[in-house]
Amino acid sequence: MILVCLGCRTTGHVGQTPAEQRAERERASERAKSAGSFQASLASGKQQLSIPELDQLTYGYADRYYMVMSSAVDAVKRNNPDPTQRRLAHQIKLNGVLSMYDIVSGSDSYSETLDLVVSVTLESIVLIDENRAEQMFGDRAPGLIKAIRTMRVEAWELAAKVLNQDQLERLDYVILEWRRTHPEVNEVAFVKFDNFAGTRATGLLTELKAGGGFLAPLSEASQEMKDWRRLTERAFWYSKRAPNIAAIQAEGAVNEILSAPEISDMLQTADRLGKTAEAMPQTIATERHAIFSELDARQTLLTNSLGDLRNIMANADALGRTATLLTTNVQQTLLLLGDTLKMMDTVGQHFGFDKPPARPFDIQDYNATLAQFNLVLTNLQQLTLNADQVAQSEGWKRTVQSLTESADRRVDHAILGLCLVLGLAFILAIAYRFISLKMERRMASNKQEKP
Amino acid sequence: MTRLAIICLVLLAWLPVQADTNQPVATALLLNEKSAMTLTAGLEQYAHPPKFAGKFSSIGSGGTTFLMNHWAAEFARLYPDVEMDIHGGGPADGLPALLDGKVDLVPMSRPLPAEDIARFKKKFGYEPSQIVVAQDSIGVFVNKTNPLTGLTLTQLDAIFSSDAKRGGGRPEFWSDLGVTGPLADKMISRFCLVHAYGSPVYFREYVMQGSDYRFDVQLEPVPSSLVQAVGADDAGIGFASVMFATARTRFVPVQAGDGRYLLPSYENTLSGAYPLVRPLRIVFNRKPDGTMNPAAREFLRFAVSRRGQQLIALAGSYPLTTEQQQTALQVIGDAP
Repeated sequence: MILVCLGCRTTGHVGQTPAEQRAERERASERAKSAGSFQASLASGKQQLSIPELDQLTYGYADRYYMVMSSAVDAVKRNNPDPTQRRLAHQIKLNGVLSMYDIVSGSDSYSETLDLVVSVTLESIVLIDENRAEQMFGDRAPGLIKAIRTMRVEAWELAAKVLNQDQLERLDYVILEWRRTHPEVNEVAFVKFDNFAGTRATGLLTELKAGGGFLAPLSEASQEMKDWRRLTERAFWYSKRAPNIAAIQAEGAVNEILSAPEISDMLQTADRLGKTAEAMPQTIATERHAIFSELDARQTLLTNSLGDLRNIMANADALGRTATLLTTNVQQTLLLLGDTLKMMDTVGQHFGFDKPPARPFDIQDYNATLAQFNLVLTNLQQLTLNADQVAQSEGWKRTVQSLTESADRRVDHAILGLCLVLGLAFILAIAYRFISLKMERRMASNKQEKP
Repeated sequence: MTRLAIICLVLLAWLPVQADTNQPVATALLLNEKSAMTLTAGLEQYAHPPKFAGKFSSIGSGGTTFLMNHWAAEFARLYPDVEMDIHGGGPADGLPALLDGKVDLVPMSRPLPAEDIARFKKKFGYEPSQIVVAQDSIGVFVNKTNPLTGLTLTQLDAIFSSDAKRGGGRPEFWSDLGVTGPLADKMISRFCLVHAYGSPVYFREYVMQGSDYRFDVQLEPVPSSLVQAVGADDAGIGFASVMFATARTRFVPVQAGDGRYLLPSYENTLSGAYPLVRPLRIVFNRKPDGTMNPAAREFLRFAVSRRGQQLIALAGSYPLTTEQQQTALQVIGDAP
């Protein structure tokens, strides 16, 4: 079915009605008869090939094509992670082999030869000359390029057994010209010589049948008799290769199905699900480990924090006790001082010191001063803490680093400048030495000249 | 000081090599549709008679016959009743046939040799007519991955000829031609067309000074196959008309007489600066009174017309200038 469908795509003549095609064929036939006889008269005495010999050559070629192209395509597909590349490679093999077996098992040896050359040459133009193989397969392309090139060379060697140089040139021209006017066609394996109807190549086939090349012409009677035998041979030949073709088609069909967007989406979803299920135990273990690690880390942090808090409270308690003690002592001292002053006032009055009366001593003033002193100490402590935080911040570090680098650069510049100055001084010293030596020598020579 | 000089020399040698490895593929050098139309816009258009019938035949060089086929396809649409027998196979068949009166046109890719002119004159009493129908250059093709930056004619001679008369030695590996990298140790694969084409004959006479080709030069039946062989083989080299350029090959610049390395571009072909320029010609039998095969005359007039030149420019060849067209039309002449 695939064979039929693919064949349908490329048959038919572009832009010509059947009547025009018939008229063109008739005109071409007339031209070809004269050209064929003319070329035959010019042809050298090259040995002519019989139809059965040509059949054997084309059978052999088709089998080699299958072998060479299969090897090259399988090499492209082997361990290839890209499904698109695998599918495209298989498509090349499928189309090429189907086309080749279709051609070789045809009924007309003359057409077969031309069809075979056309198909393989167009394939080689697309894959090699237009660089499609490299575009499609990248680093895997060289093997395929070599294979299709080999098959093109063999196809033209086969053609050269049938066609003379002029006919080969015309065949080359029509193939190139067809490709130039049909650059959009990618599946060229099924393009046949018949597709060139309406071009200047039309007469080529008629020439061949008229004995214009190196094929021995057959009389109608012998042709009729041999056709039956050849048809049987071809049917047998094709049937022996049918399993291969079926296998390639089946693989191609599977590739096609797998590359459909819906199947591709479904496979991707299944793949994701499978990967998720497969990774589940590992994910759970990882999560569990992460949770316990986090708990451990937090517990340590909490313990440390509590310890710090306990220390702080103990320190605060000690500080409070010290402060209380200090305040009590100061208060006691001040009370004693107050008593002492009161006693001195009494003594002064007793001895008649006539001084203006001063404000009596008040302990509250000193208490207030002490409270302010405590506040200042607290602010100073807070300031120290803030300074520590600033010193630990990234911005401060960057600033310090920038300043350091700037200082380094300045030092480097200074050293470089110093080196340059030293170098210059060294050069000047050498120059001075050199000039002085020169002058000494000149003066010495002058002295010798003027004794 | 010596070390510094060595470093500078190495850098100078390295820089052009780096620049040239990014050379475009061969097809980038050909005329695009816009250029083809612009270059042919000033040519005289073909004024064709409304109805015409006749017959003419042609045998000659494969490359020029390739262009003849382009003209013939269009000419057949203009004049369905004109019968054309156009064949390649080489001018070796065409010239004797012209002398025998069996063909009307002989496409050639080189000037008609003096001895052939003498033979023609001896038989007919006047010289054969010949016109230039297209510009062409022989491009030296290498694989697009080949980093070769240029070749002299001496090197080209040494690559292809059996005895290298120009004294270029005997290069066997790409390193012998100054190529470095992975290709350096690969043997040179040489490709040449069969002698039905004019380019190997021209190359042997002009580049190889008459020497024979090396025995290991691989012969290709048609130019498209030759260029493909080079595109499929990263160690390949061959020469053919520029019109067969592909995306897997690139042209090697060839050293001109003034020392510059030039590509076979339209400008270098037109100016003749590229060393392997060869105008494509058609030789025909036109009597001194202007009489000749009328179908062949119309075909030649069409070939050098604006439409004819556009056809071949779009197929990859280089078109004529207006001066060349006028010269050709004068040689063809009008019907007496």
